[in-house]
Amino acid sequence: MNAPGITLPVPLLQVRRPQSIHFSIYALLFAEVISYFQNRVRSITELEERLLDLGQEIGRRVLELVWLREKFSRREIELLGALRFTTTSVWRFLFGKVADSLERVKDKENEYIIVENSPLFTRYISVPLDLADLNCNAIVGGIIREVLCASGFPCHVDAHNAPHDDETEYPPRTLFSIRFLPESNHNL
Amino acid sequence: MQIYNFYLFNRHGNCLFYREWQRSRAGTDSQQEQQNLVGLLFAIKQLCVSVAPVNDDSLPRGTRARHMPLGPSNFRNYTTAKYQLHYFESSTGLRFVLTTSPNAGDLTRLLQRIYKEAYVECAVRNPMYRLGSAIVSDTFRKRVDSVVRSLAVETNVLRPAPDGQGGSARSSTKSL
Amino acid sequence: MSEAPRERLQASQTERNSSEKVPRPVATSAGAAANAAALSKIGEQAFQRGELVNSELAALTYGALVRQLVLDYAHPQQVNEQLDRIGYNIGLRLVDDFLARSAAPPCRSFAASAEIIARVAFRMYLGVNAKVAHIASDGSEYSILFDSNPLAEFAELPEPMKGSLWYSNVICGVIRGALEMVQYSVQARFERDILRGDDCNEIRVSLVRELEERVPTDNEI
Repeated sequence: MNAPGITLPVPLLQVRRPQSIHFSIYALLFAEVISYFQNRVRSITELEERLLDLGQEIGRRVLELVWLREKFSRREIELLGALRFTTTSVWRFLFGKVADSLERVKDKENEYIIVENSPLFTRYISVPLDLADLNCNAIVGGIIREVLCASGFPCHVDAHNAPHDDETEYPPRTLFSIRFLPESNHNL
Repeated sequence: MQIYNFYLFNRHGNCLFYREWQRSRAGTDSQQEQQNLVGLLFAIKQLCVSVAPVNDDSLPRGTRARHMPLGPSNFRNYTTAKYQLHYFESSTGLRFVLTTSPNAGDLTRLLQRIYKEAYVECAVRNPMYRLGSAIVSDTFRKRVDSVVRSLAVETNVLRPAPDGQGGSARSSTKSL
Repeated sequence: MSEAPRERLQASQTERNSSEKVPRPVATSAGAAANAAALSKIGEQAFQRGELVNSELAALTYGALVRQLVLDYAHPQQVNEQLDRIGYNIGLRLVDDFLARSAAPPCRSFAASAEIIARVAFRMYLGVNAKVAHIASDGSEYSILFDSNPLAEFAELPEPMKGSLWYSNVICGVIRGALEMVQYSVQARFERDILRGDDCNEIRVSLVRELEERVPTDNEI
């Protein structure tokens, strides 16, 4: 099966030392991305859509990189396998850890939830009341969606906040609910 | 030691945040009070600049000493019979002010922690916070509280020494 | 200014400007190197202490932003301006993060800011080593040179943009915003970029003017 999307230059195939940048500059860059969009949209839903699109853009490349790094010779052909790949390999690439849990929604054939207890993208975002519905983790939702879609499992992904058991704990957890489209089953 | 109030001003003298823990003087016009405080702080700073010895020689050729640079200065606190005012200014001109009961010692470190742990973490990094506007974030308030509370715990333990963590910094205290 | 009396430094050449607040001020020509090494160490320590993020994720996020701007604006020059503006906004905030976390000595003069940006800030935030070069004799301009650039990791400029887009222009904005907050109004621009085929990245920073603090009048407060 061919990897979809862009091709990467050859040097990437060579082994490289993982590099890092400081969280502060990344957080501020992300903050500016949000305000750039904020000035160009009319509603919160639209803002989340833009973030989702941006996430998909990133997700396309994340998938290629993770494939290369982890030396996957073929893509996951099972839905559950693709989900596990997302919560482990992709999560490690994004956040340096695996996701806190992957659950199947009760009584729903095609719905799953990924739980992240300490979401990187919103760790310092305290959303004012008039924007309480905004979830900046939509960008991660976009990445997840692209990873799964490109693996052959078209789906919708929504990000929402959920309080911890101890409600004062901040930031709240983020739940990514994934609803696979019927075509996904053809790939099973 | 008792902690009274905390103020945060930006370099233009706007009050970004105010928090009171203990206040016995009720019903004052808080805006007027903040305005007076800013006037006082600028005046003290200007005085410090104008009376301090000049050592321009240490500056590289081609540059001149600034008239009134922003940033940490020797003015750290003053004490009256009733209260002590602690002051820390960042190089970006943020002014952190805390009032306590007298003889609290030098609290510069505490104000620096508020700068780092509350302002930098909860205001600077928050994309929903517009620089220079009043800080209304709950997380910021909680963080200020927890930093100040940690001091209260510390000083209760350290209480017996009357000048607490004052030490060498006392020489910089200016009494009014 | 009510500063603590400091040791007088005999050195006054601009190359040695920043030796002033380093732990062991050295007034010889070896001072600049020793000073740079001390600052590099501060930068490295601040980097190690910090919470870190995968630089590839950062490169992809930045890349997605640039792509968005290229879609939103017709001319690469406008994209450069937007990147500079975004960087400026980041710089206005980042400077407080830097002052509170880096343990770098304060900038006593504009010229002294060069080594602090190159040795401490570049190392601390981007994890790269940068150096200062081409300092103007009056100390009002300098260049920052660096080889690797994590933001541009996966980037390749399409041919028509090679002469016009400064892909990492956000860094210029960050420098401009950060210095403005410590009262130096500057211009910062890319002179060379590896993405364009140059042998290294060079950002030129020049002082426009020093800002003075003003006591606010009553009705401003």
